[in-house]
Amino acid sequence: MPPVRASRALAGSGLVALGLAACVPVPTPTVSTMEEPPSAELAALRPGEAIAVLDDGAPDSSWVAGCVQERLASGLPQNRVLDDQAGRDRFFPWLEPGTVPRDDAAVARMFEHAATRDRLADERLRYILKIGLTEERVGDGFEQGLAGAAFWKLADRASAEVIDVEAQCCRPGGTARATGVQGYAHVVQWGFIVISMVETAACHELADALLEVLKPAATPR
Amino acid sequence: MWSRAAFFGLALVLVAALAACGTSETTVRPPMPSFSAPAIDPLPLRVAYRFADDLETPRVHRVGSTDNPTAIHSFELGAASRATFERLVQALFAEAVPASTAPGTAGTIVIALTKAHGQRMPQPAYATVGYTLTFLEPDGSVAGTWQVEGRSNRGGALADETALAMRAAATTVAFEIGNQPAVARWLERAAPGHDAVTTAPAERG
Repeated sequence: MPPVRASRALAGSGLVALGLAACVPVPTPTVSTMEEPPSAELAALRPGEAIAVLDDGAPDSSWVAGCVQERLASGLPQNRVLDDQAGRDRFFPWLEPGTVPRDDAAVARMFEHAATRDRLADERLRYILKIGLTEERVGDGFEQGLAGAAFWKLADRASAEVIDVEAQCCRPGGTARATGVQGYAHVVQWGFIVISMVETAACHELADALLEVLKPAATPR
Repeated sequence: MWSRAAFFGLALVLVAALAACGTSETTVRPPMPSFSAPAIDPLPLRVAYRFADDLETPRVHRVGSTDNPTAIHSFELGAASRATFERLVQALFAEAVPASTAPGTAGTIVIALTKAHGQRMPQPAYATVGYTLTFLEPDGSVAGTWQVEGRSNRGGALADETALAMRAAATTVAFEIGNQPAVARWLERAAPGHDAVTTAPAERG
């Protein structure tokens, strides 16, 4: 191959490679920890009991609530784990955004209704988990002007508030914190995204802590 | 002479430009409500209920200026509104009968759709739905009216936002209908011993 054609081919394939790189998320490690464990008052579920996992109504919380619900559902095969929609539909209008009881007094008002108590009993609902997410950028981050790159450190906190249906009160369900790096860099004109899965790490940390508490005790043989 | 590729390219650009300048027309038909009958104790009343005659009439919302709108949304909320309120009143009262008036009822509730608008752009998409509930005494006189509004702006498809707005209105109805002055009067009249209290001379002092 003549040298000019060879270099053109090389340059072309280089551009294709860069373009492909633009589509590939680059993972980076995250660190996650439980800042506050779930309340010691929470107890293991009995087989057949159900829980509902809702988001707290904030736009950022929807994804992490779904993530926690899925992880709990896969870890609690003997129990039903209602997702946000199913929980809200079944217990309408008590679990709508803005109407979920926030304190013991509001929970008591909900339990004044025999219709509510009956519905909860029909479903064997033991806990209602309300999941929230807060995200903060840690430090100033930095930007490298030449390549147009920007990276920043994120800290996500996923937290759970629990309505204990048996005890008819609210309990803290724990807070997980995850930190990682997220960023964006230009390559030619497309760019690539560095993804550190901070939200995922916070979700898994919280869900695993809840699983430890909620998992039904193994039946003795 | 233009090549075929250039011709098609220009045609595509023209089509895109025309699409951008034109007015989009959308029919918004939200899904039926998915929520269960409210888990709230029913009020101890027997009521009649009916829907306003124009419930099925589409409500048209022109986004932008009235003369030159960027989008026209036609909200067809009749079926979903009917399903929503039937589910509500059947659960919120001890007995609710679909009728203009019914003997032996505390009164009649007339449900009318009074507002529906929303838009997709600019984001986040939103929808607002409003109803007026008119409370009629058994003799047909108006005991009171109540404007209820629901709104959603989560940025989803317009039909979904509309369904959420209707659901928000339904939530308000579920929690607040017992506090409406007309309903409170009906409850007072229906309370056991009401007649005795108001007519017994000894009670009047």
